[in-house]
Amino acid sequence: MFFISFLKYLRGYLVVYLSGYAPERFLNMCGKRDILIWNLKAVEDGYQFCMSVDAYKSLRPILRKTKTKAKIIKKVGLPFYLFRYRKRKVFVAGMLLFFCLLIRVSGFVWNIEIIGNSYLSEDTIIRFLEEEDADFGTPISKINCAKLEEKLRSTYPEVIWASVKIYGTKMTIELQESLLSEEFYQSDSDEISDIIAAKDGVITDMITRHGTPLVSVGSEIKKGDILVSGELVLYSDYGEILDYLYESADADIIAQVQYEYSDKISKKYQDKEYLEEEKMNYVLQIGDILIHNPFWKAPENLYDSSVENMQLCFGQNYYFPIYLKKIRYYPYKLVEKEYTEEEIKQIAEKHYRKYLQNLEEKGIQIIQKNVMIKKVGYSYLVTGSIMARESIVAYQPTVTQNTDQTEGNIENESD
Amino acid sequence: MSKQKSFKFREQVIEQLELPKDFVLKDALVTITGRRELLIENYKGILIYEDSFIKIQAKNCRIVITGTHLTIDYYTNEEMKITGFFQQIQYE
Repeated sequence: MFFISFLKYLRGYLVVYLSGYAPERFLNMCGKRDILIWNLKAVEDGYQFCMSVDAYKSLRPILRKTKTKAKIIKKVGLPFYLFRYRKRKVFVAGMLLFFCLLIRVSGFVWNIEIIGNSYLSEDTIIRFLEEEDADFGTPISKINCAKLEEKLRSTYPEVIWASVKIYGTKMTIELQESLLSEEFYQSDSDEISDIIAAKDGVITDMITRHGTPLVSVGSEIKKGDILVSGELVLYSDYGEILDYLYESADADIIAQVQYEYSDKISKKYQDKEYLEEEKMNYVLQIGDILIHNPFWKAPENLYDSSVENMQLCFGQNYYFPIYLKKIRYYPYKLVEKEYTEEEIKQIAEKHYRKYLQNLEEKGIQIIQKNVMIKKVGYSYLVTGSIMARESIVAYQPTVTQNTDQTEGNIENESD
Repeated sequence: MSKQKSFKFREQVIEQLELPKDFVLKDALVTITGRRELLIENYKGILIYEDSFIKIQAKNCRIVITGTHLTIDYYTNEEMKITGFFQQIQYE
C-alpha cells in the first residue's frame, strides 16, 4: 500500500472538485472509460476526488456531456514540487555535491576500535596498522582483512587469535591474547637454547628439568653466565666422549639479587597555583584542516589544557573525518616553594613504597631492605639496597659442536 | 417460455456445468469486512452518492448502503471499494 502511494507521489496527481448537473453520470462515464478515480468524497454541492494528470486532460468530452465543471484544488507529487523549485539550481548542485562527497568519504576508514587487548597497547596496534598502511584515512578497498589478521598474529606472538572487520567506515580489530608469559614462547621455539643468568646474584633454589646444570644452589653468578646448558655429553665406559645430544634447557632458578635504590628530592620546587577562571574553546577539524574560532584569545598566563574529541558519525558504523574539539584551559601561576623536613620524609617514603610495589608486582620477593636519607646542600639524597629473591632465567641459543670433529679428536687421542 | 422459466433453466444448466455464477449470470459480488470496508465487483454504475448514502446499480438489483463518512476509495470498470461506517446494506 505504501509502495502504491509512493508511486502515485512520484508520478504526481491532482485533487479535483466536481460540481454541476449530473455528477453521478460523470463518475459512471469515467468508470466506463477506464479513468481511475480514487479517494472520492461527497462534499457540499459536488464531489472531490484524486486523479492522474493524463486522466484530467481527457476529461473534456465527459464534462461537456454531463454539464459538469471540474476545478483543480491541489497539485500533489514530485513533478509539481520540482517545477515549483526549478530555479534553485545552486541548491540542487549543493545537494549533489554533498552526496558525491559523502559517497567518496565513506570509502575510507575513519574509526578504529580495538577490543580484547591487554598486553598490547592500543598505540602499538595503531602503529602496526600504520606500518601496514591500514590506519586512519586508508581506502577500504586497499585493506585486506585476512592478510592483516595473519600479519598481526605473526608479528605479535602473544596474539593467538585476531579478527579484522570493516563495517561502514569503522574498522574493528578483535584480539585474543595468550595468558602465558614471554618466557614460554622463547622456550617453546624450535631453536635449542641454554639458560643464562639475567642478573648478578646467589642461587637459592634450582630445579632442572632438561639440560645439564652447570651451577648449583649457593653458587655466585654474574649476568650472562650459562646456568643450564642445552648440551648433553655422552661418555663411554672409559670416560671418552661418544656423542653430544642437544635439547633445550628448562629449569626454575631462583637467586638472591641485590637492587640499589637511589632517589633525589630537591628542597625547592615549583608549584602550580590555578587561577579561578577556566576558559573553553571549540575547534573544528575536517581531515587535517583545523578551523579555529577567530574571536578566541588564549589565556595570557601559563595553562594546562585538556582536549575532548567528538567525531561525526551516522548510526553505529559510519564515521566521518570531521571532529569537534572541545578544549578547556586551566590557567595557573608558577610559585617557588620549599618543602619542610616532614614533607620530604613523606615524599621519600612514597617514592620508596612505589618502587617496592613495582618490584613485588613483577613477582620479586623482598627479603631485606636498608634505606637512608642524607642532606646534600639544598636537596635530600635517599640511598639504600634491597635484597630480593627472583627468577633469573633468560634464554640464549646453544653453541652446537660438530660431532664428526669430536670423533676425529677421539681417534687422535687414541693414537 | 416465460422470463421466469428461462432464468430457472439457465440457472440449472450453470449448476450442472459447475460454471461460476457471478461470471455467467453477472451477479454482483459483495465482500464486506467488518462494518468499515466493502468491495463490490460486477456492478454497473453509481446512481446516487452522498456522504451518508450510496446507491449502486448492479445487473439485476440495486444495492443501497447507508452509514456515515462514506468514501469511495477507488473504483474501476469492474470493482469499487467503499469505506466508512455502515449502518445498513439493502437490496432493492
